[in-house]
Order: sequence, then structure tokens, then C-alpha cells
Amino acid sequence: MMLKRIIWHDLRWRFLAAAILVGMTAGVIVLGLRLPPRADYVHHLDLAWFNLPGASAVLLPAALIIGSPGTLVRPSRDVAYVMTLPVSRERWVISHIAASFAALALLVIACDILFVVAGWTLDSVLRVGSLTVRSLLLLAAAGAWIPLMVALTALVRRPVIAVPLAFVLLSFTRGNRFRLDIPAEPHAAMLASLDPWAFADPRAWNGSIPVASIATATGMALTGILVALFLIRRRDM
Amino acid sequence: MSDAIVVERLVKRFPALIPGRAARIAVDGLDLRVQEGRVTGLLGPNGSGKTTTINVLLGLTKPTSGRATVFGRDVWRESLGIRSRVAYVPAERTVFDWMQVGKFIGGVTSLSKRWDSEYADRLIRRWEIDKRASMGQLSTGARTRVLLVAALARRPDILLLDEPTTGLDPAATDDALSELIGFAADGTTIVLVTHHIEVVDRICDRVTIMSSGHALLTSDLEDMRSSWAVIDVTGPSRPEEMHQWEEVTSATRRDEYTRLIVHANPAAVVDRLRLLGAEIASVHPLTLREVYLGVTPRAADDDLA
Repeated sequence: MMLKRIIWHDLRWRFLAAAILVGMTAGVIVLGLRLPPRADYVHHLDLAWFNLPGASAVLLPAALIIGSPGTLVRPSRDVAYVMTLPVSRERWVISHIAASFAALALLVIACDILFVVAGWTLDSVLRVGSLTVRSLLLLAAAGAWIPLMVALTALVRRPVIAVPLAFVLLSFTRGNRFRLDIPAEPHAAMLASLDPWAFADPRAWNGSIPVASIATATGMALTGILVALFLIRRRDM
Repeated sequence: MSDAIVVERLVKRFPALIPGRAARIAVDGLDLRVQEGRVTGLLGPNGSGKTTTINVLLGLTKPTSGRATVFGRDVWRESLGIRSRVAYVPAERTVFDWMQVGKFIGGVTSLSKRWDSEYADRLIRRWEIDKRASMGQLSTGARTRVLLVAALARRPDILLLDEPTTGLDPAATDDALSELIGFAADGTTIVLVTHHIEVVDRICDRVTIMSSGHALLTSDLEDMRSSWAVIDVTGPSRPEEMHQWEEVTSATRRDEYTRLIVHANPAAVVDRLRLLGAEIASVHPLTLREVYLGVTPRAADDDLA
């Protein structure tokens, strides 16, 4: 209870910023949809949101913002007090990562609800199963960046430095992660098979499982967790 | 009686934030032993390393070198096990300003295996703590009471208390100290960091005086009361020579006399002085305050309350 409260107290403004970013984008996407009656709604959402480029443009920044917890790295009286209670540093780090992931999940669920409501008003065919699977993949792809972001924040010790630094580092990677077309246009290009976001694209699942991308994302998340634990275990509170 | 806390040659050095500046040494070769079930006072001027020592014991700060154990467990590597048996009242009262008192206490409850709800409720009623108030709205004294409830109701084996009477009025101080005396009677080990010498005098049975990160003096208070004395000597005397005597802590020449602070066997020192032809102007036992001021020459009166 204590951990949840202190983590939420730290997270709330970052969550709000991410929610505004994601909510506005998702809102603009559904407002821009012009569908023929009885159209396959999920297919249109694939073009606008789930295929790349698409949701990575907002969900990746959201994950980076949410996954930069100040309380984890900034010495504070509140944290020092909590750490005099029987709370391990491992639990402290994992709780931050879990809370960030939960916050991101809330945003993805909110987007799904928005898409469902929009689909209903557009009189389109909504396949809830497909929508759910696609959203879970998106959540996993964005969530994999959270531990890495927590580790980066633990390394540089300031969220205000960690977030811009993460954007700069990401801009050097291949794949146009921050591009979002409104209205959506079909793109043939896909990410490299090793890219940690590639498995979130529904097209990557045509005929085979994108193992390389899943392995990269999993490795990235585990590395982030281990580095964050290593840094926080050694640090004075 | 076994040692609950053992600190040996403990050093804590904080690296300089600005390149070229010297590192700050907060604890410098501290040796300290706290026996189980005893109440030990840690006294010392500001910056003498008392709070850093407590932070090391709680596993908040990693020792630079040396060894510190609580119940035989290493304070850094086995901190979690230690913290389930130790409760702490921080010197800094402004914690969780944004949280309601009831939620703060509920949070501590959720992380404490031995939380005594009945006792906590009793203290909350007796100390008139408003659980609906925000921590930030409380006076210093009220915050002290909340933090004391959060520590005492955990029923710890060790209480680490950093200035536990700050902001309390005399009646509330008496009440809080009587609770602590009750815990000590039940066998709880208590380490009390304070500038309030009368608090140490009232509830501690052992005292360690620290300065510049190390212990200047550790003694049972009873022994201190019987063995420490101030002897004023008139007539010819050589303070430099007296200072070398084993029993003498300090020898200072004043205008008309020489003042000796003696930490053992004052009667033998008096006999020796008489043999040397000195006239004894006065001999009187030292209070804890006088001992403190005697062994910490740089201590200012405003360090003491």
C-alpha cells in the first residue's frame, strides 16, 4: 500500500503527460476515420494505429516518459523513510517498473475503449478478439522499453536528462518510430526482424512467429531490469 | 548480555560533488557496541557523524570501509532482515507531507509483520492524533508523535531514534519517554541520537560521545557519574604534566587555578596532587553536560538543549 501510494504520487504527472499525448493522438485518429458502412474496422485501425509506422509514434514516447521515475533515483526523505521499513531494493525497483507498465496498460486500454466506442458509432464490423491481441502486442512492445528507461534514469539520476537522452539515442536507431500519418496511408515497409518493435506489427505474424523481435524485446527488458537493480542496489538512499 | 549492534572501524566517506574538492568524511573509524536490551545515547556536535551512523545501521548508506552488524547480520548485505526487526524515527520530520496521517500509518502497518494495532490505536487516542489530517498540516510535535506511533507499534527489537522529542511539550516529552522506558523494560534495545542531554540522563544507561566521526568516549552513565570529576587546583601546578596522567582527560590553566577533568578514580588523583604540594580548591562530580563539554572542546553551548 505504502509503495503504491509513493510510486503513484511520483508517477501521476508523468502519467498525465503521457495520457494527454496518447489520448489526443488516438482521438484525432478516430475523428479522421471515414469508413464505408459495415467496413472491417480493425483493418482500418491496422493502417492507422497497429501497423508501423503508427502507435509507436506515441506509445514509445509515453513509455519513455512514464518509465523515468524520479523517486527511484532522487534522494528524498519519503524514500529514505520507506527504505528503513522491510522493503528490499529489488522490490522497490520492480514495483516502479510494474507501476509504469500498469500505467502504460491503462493508456492502451483507454485507447481500445475509444476505438470500440468509435467503431460502434461508425457502424463498422468490430472484431474484439483481433483488437485485444493487437493491443496486447502493442503494450508488450512499448512495455519492453520501460525497464531500459528505468535503468537509464538510474544511470543519469535525473528524469529530466534521461527522457531527452533516450529520444536522442532512439533517433539514431533504424526505423521511423516517431512517424504517424493522419489520415493513415498504407506502408509496405516493415521493421527489421531483430527490431524490438517489429513483433507489434500484425503483418509480422503472417505465417510465422517473429521470434527474433520477441527475443530482442525480452532481452532488452531483462537487461533493463538487471542494470536498474545493479545500480539501485549499490546506491545510498 | 550479547551485542545487538557492533560497529568496528567504520568509515563513511562521501565523494566530492565538485572535482578538486576534498571528499567529506562523515564517519571516521567509529567503534561502537550496543548491548541487547540497553538504552544507549549518542551525543555529539552537529556533523559528528551520528545520523550517518544510524543510516549505515539501517542499510541506507553503504559503509566505505569497516564493519557494522546488527544481531550478527551485515548491515549492507543483510539489511532487509535487519529492517524487519528495527524501527526508526528520523530526525527530519517533514516526511510524507502529502499523505493523510491515517494512510501513512496504514502504509507502515502494511509493511510491518509485528504491527500492534491495539497499542497503536491506544497511542493515537492518548496523543490526540488526527488520522484525517494531512502530515503536512501537522505541527512538529504532532509529526513527532505520528512517527513515534509508526515506530513503536511495529514492536521492534531495536529502536533507532533520531531526536525523538523534537517539538514535544514537556508533558508530551514525559509521556513519550515513559513509553520508551517501558520498551526498554521489555528488553528492547534503544539507540537514541539527541542534543537533549537531559533526555539521555533520564532514560539511557550508556552513552557514546562522538566528534568528527569517531567515538570520543563510551561509558555507562553510572560509571560516569561515580568516576568523572572536576578538580580545581590552586598553587603551583604544571597542567602539561598533569595532562599526561592516565586518569586525566584535560588540564587547563585558568586565571587563579588549574582545572582538571578526571575520568577515573578522582580520590587517587587528589592524593597525588597533594603529594605534589598542590592545594585542592574544589572537587565535584561531573554532570553529563560537563563531561560532554569537557571531551568535545569545540562543542558550542547551542549544540545542547
